[in-house]
Amino acid sequence: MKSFPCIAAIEIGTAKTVVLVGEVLSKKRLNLIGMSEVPSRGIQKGEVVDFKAASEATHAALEAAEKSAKIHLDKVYLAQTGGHLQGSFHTGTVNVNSSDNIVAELDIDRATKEAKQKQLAEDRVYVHHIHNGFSLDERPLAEPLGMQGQKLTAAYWSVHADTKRLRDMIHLLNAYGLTVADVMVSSVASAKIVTTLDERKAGTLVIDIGAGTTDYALYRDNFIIHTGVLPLGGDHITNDLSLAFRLDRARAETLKCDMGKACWLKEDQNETFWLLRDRSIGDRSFPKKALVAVIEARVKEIFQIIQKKISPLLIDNQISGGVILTGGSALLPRMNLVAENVFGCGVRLGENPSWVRDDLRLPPYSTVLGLLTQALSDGSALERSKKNQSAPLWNRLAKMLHLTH
Amino acid sequence: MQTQISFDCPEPVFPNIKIVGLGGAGCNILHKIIIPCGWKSLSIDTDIRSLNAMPHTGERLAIGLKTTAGFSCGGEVDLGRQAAEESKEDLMAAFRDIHLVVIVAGLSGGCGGGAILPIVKAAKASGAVVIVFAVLPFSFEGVRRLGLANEALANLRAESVGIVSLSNAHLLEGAKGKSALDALSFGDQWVQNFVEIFTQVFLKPAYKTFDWKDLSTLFGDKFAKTIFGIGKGFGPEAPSQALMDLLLCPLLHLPGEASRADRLLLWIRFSPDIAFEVLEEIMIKVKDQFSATQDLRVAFAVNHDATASIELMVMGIIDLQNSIQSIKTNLAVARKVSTVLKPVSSTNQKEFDFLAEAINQRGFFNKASSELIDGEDLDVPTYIRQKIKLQV
Repeated sequence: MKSFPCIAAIEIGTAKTVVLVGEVLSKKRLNLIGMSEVPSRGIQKGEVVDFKAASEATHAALEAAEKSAKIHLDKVYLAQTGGHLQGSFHTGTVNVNSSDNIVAELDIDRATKEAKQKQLAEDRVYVHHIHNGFSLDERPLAEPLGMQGQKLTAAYWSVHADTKRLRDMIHLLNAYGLTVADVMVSSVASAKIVTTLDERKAGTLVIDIGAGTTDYALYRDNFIIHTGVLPLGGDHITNDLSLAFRLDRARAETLKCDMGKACWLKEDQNETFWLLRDRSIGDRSFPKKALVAVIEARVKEIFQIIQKKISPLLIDNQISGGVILTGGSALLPRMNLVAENVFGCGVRLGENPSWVRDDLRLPPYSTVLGLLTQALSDGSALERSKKNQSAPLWNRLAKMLHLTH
Repeated sequence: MQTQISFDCPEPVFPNIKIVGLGGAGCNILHKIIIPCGWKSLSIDTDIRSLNAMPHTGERLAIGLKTTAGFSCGGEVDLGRQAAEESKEDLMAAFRDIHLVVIVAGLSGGCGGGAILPIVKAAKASGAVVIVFAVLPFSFEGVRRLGLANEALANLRAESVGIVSLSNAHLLEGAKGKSALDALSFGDQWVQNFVEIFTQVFLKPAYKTFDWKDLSTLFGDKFAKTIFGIGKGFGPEAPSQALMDLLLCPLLHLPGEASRADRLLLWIRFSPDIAFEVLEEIMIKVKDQFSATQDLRVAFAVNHDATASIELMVMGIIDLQNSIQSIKTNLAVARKVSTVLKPVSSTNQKEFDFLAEAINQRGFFNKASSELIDGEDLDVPTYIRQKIKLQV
């Protein structure tokens, strides 16, 4: 029996399912006590396509995490991705109530509530409201409490999901006897963990390239002003190679991981590669340029789509804080060069904080680590553990999905 | 009534084979290779000056004297076709009593690309089995020349002929570090290899052999793609080396074509010290490699002059009509998908023809819902949608 409350985070990705279990020492201190990672099954492009297979893999990961942490989990934080996620910018404006026009907590609550209650279509549900700051009489503010003004506006980037697809994901965990403490958008989770405060203030684009999806989040003035998900990822690169060279999936994946590069340089001029690399029947050497051409086309396209989506939000078409690449597919060599070419700014590979053990510092674990730390830094984890209370967001979600909590 | 039994065996009958060099490229190759004993050769061109410059001693036929006045076609395919049609009777005469006609031609030229179809028709009308050794243009020769060659290939496929194509791009691949002259002679060398192996297969005695009738059956169907490859192996690793050599043969066009042969001839020539188990293993591996489950025929010959030596030749066809039928069946399932997709053309490369249909372009996302952005299905590889030509 652990003496401190524990929280768990799970990322059910297309390629792998990772569970982290942390012991909450204080609002800002967490001790990682358990972890598990199993290959995912039944997931495609971040969505459940085979419930039975997905359940087995997810439950195996949860079981392994419980064994690793030597505790029994009862709730878990879930990272959510998938092409069905969409976002929209909402504001809520209220008149400041008091006679002296000093903003009180009640005013902030009303403005916040107003911003969050924009109606959605029947089959959509909000999963994440990302705070975008306040303005008081059109003056941008980080914290308006106690300041004088007449009109208070709260701004949010609200991400909503397709109800059925979100329900599929949550049912995977319910079937193991777990409740979902909260759902967080994957891009937000990974963006939080790989960026520094300076980068977030300067305005940084974080791109998390996974196996099935590419999630991105754009920061400005320390707020995430836009997120998005492309149902494209490393699996598409593998598929492209599989079709180009007529390889089965496993061989195409191995080829990508072992020989793949995101762009071609002159120094590769005379390089060739063997298709199967075992000199068996059908093995044949190809110029590496052909391999790279297939990958580069896909990677460049992914970045170009993101560039097109965020360009209306950029000031002078610049990403002043640069681009950070994370996620498993970001490990593909020269990914940064392609990104530099497309976005025209500095690009670096994301690295998780030094306080985690070495193997967890790699980009593939950004999302799950971000999810765990975000849950902690929100302060809600500790308080909920103590008070056994649910977040208002989750209450609404659970009610809509008819889930027990 | 008495039955008379003769103990005099008739003289063995060998097929009459004629190799034809057509147009500038075809004649150039023809005069550079050694014509094996038992083969006849014929150079055909509209350009009389070029024909006269050919040093070899075979037959020569100038076609289309009225159409081109003895000059070249200047790259005009129509002129080449008219020239051949004008000289149809001469062509019929040239192919009389010939069983097998091998035509070597550069398909992007005016004479080679234009005259080939009437010449093939003339040879077939004479009762000959026809195999075309087609030299395809370099990629830098431009889209038009490539288009002409592809059009000529498509027309030939409708005529029940064997087509062995050699892409000049493959020659460039093999020519790295070589002199220009050596590089250009690569094409000649492959035609020479082709001719030599054909001589071995069809004219030399063997334990179990093929004859031109086998070829007649093999190439009996229209709209079929030809598989042809040769490989050699020597020394202790002879079997694996021969198989590897076969699969790397630039005439074989892996990986696109050699995956599902509807009919396949396999010829194995081996030295006396090779064990039967080795041959059996080779047969199984070739059968698996080419998915030749329908119709695989094997012939053996022994090379008494060598030790630890194996030579292989595969020749077969992929029946495109069968393939089209099966694709049509699949398309019925995928019709819903294909109606919403923006049409995506293939990459103009033979190796990637199988990707021309939308159903084949999504790979393991075939059953996933389409991800459309600006009307493009993002599950289809980017290099296909953007028509990026791969250097393979």
